[in-house]
Amino acid sequence: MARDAGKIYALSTVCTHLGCTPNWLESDNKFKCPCHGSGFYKTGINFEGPAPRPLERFKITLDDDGEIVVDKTRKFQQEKGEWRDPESYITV
Amino acid sequence: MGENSAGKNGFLDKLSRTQVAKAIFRTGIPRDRRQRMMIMLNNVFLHLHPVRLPKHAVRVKYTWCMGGLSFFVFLVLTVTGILLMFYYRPTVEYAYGDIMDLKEQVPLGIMREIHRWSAHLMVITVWLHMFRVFMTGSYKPPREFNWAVGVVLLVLTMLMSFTGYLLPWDQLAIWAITVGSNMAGATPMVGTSGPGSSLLALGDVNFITSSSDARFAMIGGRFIGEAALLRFYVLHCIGLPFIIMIFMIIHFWRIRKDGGISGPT
Repeated sequence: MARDAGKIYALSTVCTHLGCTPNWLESDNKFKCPCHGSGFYKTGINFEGPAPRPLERFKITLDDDGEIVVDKTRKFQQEKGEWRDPESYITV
Repeated sequence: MGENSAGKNGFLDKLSRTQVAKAIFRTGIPRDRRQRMMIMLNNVFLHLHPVRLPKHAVRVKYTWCMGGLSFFVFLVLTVTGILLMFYYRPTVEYAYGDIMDLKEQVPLGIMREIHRWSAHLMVITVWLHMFRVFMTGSYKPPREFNWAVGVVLLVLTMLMSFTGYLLPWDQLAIWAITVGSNMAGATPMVGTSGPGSSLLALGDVNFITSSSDARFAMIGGRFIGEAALLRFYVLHCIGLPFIIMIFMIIHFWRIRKDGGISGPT
């Protein structure tokens, strides 16, 4: 779960290179994959290492009680322009 | 002294004339070249070696003995591997703990380290053997088929390494196999993320999905888990060794049939 520029979104922490789990590094302000060193910004955009595309985002909604619901069966890929889909983020 | 004790009335001579010895060894104590040859031919283990060797075959500078060393290390791996099978249990619950116990508690748990180091060594010796064969031109006719068999053996050695890598069930193992199996998922035609995977479809029913592709067949699921561990264990201990031994038999047999070990021209 990340919050950036007034939006909350749920990132899938499966590296788009070969499927390891990138960790959030607070000091470097980035996600870093331990396997081959791919780096991703807080937004999920890849900027270093072998990862060919950004991390995927999950469907995220607010339910009636105001709780955040993440649906991991729906994925949104930045390179397909799907991050513009209002279901891929909630605004605050 | 050595000659006399093997003489006509020596103990060994008497022993070699008993029915038990004759039934097992057929040829008595060898005294001439013909008998020495017969010993090689009549013994299943000795007949793996040729009766006569050209001098260059034992010149380490020429052969590096890398083929022989690869086989020797394979035998070490077989023996230590069987011993490890008595202890190691390939389940998510026990695998990692068993390896830790082998490391710290189990008497002769050093077998695990010997197995691991030998595995690394075998990959190195197999590559060096291939390098030597290449540099001496020993892959040329009439040995071109044996080169192909050797390439299969190289691939099988790598697969043995790969399957064995998962068994300690530590972080390194799980992520290494995650990476390796994700590569399998990119296989053309039969991997979901590979090119052409959408071609294998009937109407809009896709045959290659993330639960029916090459990756799934390899790890028995969509993630590395119990099924992958068991699959890799069986392949590592039974499946691949069985196949590798068949190819080794062919490899060694063909050396002889293709005119013996290659020599300097």
